[in-house]
Amino acid sequence: MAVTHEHHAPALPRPEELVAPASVTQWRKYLTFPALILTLWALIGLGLNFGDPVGMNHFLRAYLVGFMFCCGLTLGCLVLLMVQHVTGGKWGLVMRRIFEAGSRNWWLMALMFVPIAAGLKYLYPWANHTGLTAHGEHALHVREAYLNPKMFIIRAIAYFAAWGLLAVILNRWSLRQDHPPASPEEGNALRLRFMRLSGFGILFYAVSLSLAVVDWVMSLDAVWYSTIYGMLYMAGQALLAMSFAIIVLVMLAKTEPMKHLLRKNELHDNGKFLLAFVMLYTYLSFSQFIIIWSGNLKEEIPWYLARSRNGWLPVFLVLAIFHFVVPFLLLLNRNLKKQGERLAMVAAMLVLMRYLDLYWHILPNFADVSWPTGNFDPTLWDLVVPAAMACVWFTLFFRELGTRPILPLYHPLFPQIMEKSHGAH
Amino acid sequence: MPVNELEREQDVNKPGSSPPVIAPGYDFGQITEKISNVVLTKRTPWSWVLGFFIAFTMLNVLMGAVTYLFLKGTGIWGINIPVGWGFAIINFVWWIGIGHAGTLISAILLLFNQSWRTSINRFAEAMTLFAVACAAMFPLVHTGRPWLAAYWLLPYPNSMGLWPQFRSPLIWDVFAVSTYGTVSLIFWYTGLIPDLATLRDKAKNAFAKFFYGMASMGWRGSARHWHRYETAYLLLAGLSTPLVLSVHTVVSWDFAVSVIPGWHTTLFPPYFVAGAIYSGFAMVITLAIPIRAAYNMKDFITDRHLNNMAKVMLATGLIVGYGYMTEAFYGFYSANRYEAYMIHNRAFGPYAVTYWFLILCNIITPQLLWFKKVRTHTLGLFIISLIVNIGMWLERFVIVVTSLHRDYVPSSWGMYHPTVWDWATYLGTIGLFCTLLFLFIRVLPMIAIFEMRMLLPESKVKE
Repeated sequence: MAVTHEHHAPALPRPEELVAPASVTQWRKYLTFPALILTLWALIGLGLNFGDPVGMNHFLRAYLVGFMFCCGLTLGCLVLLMVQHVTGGKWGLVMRRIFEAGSRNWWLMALMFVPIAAGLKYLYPWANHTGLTAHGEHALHVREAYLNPKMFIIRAIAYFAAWGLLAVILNRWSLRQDHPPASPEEGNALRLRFMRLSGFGILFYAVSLSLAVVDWVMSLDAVWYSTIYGMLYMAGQALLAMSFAIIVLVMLAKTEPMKHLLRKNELHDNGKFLLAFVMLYTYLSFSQFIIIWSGNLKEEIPWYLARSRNGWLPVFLVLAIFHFVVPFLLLLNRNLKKQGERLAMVAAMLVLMRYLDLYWHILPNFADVSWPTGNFDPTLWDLVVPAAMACVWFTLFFRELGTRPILPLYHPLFPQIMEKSHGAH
Repeated sequence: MPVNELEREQDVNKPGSSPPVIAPGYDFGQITEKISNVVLTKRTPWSWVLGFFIAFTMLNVLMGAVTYLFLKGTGIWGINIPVGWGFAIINFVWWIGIGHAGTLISAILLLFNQSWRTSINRFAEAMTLFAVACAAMFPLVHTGRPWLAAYWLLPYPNSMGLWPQFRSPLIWDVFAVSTYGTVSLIFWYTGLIPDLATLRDKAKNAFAKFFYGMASMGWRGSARHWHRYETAYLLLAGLSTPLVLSVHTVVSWDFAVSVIPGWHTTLFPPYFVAGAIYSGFAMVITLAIPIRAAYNMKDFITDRHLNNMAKVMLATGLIVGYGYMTEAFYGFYSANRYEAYMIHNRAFGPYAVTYWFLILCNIITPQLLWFKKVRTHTLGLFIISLIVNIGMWLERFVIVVTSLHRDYVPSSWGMYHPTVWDWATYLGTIGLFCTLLFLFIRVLPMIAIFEMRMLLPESKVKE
């Protein structure tokens, strides 16, 4: 072992080496077919049931789960992208273009919101005022100025416009890092601009998402509220997007150039993040549970009763085991976090669990509105509609991923991911 | 967010980037000399003597206040019905919160490979221990009968078949805080061992040789020692990490499991944890700035450290601000008149002054930290950190007092006014904290010597 001062910097790859591999196009093609079939299936089903309240209910409830899932992917990618800009670690540099491609699907989310806006009266008690208790009527009356169809849609437009603006600007600036900067100062100035915009962007995301989930999910229940809910969804979205991006990263690492560029350290760091998000989500979720359980108030506890009775208990247990216990124990293992395929398998399980968790959050709300009750009574809709939406999202994601080099070559930190690592923990 | 040494070194060469974590021009020997000389010198600086004298005087105020408390009982305090929890719990939460920064710096930043933690971790951990000691005073004395604390809080088999209420977070708190204190102490001590051996080897005085020799537990610096040390340190860091979250989470449950408006809210755990780290970093800055000036440690505790700590303070302060906004929003959204009244009462009730001062101290002032000029302006940062310390104390005052003094039935409303004994006890714990800190600076290396040596480029080993 020799003591040395200088770093040996290997030659940077040439720009043409960083073009997205052919496999990205291949995955897009694989996904296009199921996306089309499932969408067609969902649309035909919707057409057959159009106007029938029971069919519409089934469809829109499943649709809302799918919407929140895709929203989690898009916004999770957007916020992790901004976190990466603010903290500036190498972990995020290898994920950067994946997050960016995900955030470019923001317009799809705005589009997917249209059916929800059109079907408000099927979903939200404040829009249809049926089957409400006196308590519920009172709560909706108090909130009326805030929670009404007009305000709901205006707020949603504002959120999508702002999220879209953030995504567009961050993606546009990022293109500059595919070309050499005029001077090192200019490269650094761009990095600072990224950092500042992302700092404000994260703040805006935190506030807007907290309000948006009140509108979109919490208000499905006329009475219940929980102040941790916004944070819970932030953690859920970060967990979902991180899981998804790790899967994509591992898939990319099967071929050049990522095969050559992705080192165990960056994979390990991202695995640590995944573990941290698993723990964070469970922490927030458990905090909500224990506070509501011990308070045992009639405004709050029905939320958990509805989610642990009427057949929902097994779902609750599956979530506890596969959303927390199993991934937690697996991810504690350092070797697993350094082995791409195994890490991707844990991440895939977490993606499925995020879907199930959203399902468990959303569906039991409909116990007292109309038939069917809030029993755990899954229909084919609940799989087909979210799967169709997710496949469309994935297809467009891979199309976006293919349009740019998979790493920003002229990012100031790029040379470092080429260096041999110094024994990190 | 592993920003490791490589990035730091690159930063140095870049325009507009942060200064390094250690000033250039030091070698192994100079680092050792500079830090160990503070301890091994025969001359005690007059500023130390003066500071210690003031702190020790304040400590005696604590002794007086507690003695009178034991003689008279809690009637000497301002607590009453409905405000049964006054300064004791406010100060307990404040001190425990301050401790969190030490654990975060020593454990989480270590796991994240943040090299800038190195020069501040030692005294931040010491700060944690002393803050926990101050916090622990309050549960011990809050009944006015400390001999009952063990009797009521610790579960032990007894002939009466009586057990504490295990479903109460108050009993969880006993375990959370004692675990926290124990792990922090072991972590801190383990990190000290190699440096204690350095002091043993450098000490001239026979007593010092004996003292550091005993304390360094036979450390010889062999490869095997280092290997075991590294493993133990990493494991302890892993053990400490959940404690950063768990302790203040349990503290928040003390409030949140009740059904008092203003206490019973699901956001409390993350909001308390963020507040704890916020106040803790404010305290680290409050201590670091005078210490580095007094001992001329600017080369080790650099502007980069202050800048980074200020950033953490800004981020956690924003989370706390998110908490206030959420509370206000749900005051409306809950459609619950008691929740709505609680928010109204905080902002416009008899304690409105404390609420608006809290907003000023915790939310408005720290926004200055968005500017790098402020973050690297030593005096400005010092003042902001003091303001945040005050703000976080006010936050606990607002949470405890305004929620209790007016809850559901107006006939049971009341007011709370702290007495001179409340203030004396609080001031006294500050004295305890400062006394311990002064002693620590005088007899132990306040910066980890061997970790600083590892930051030098000479210590980089080619693989």
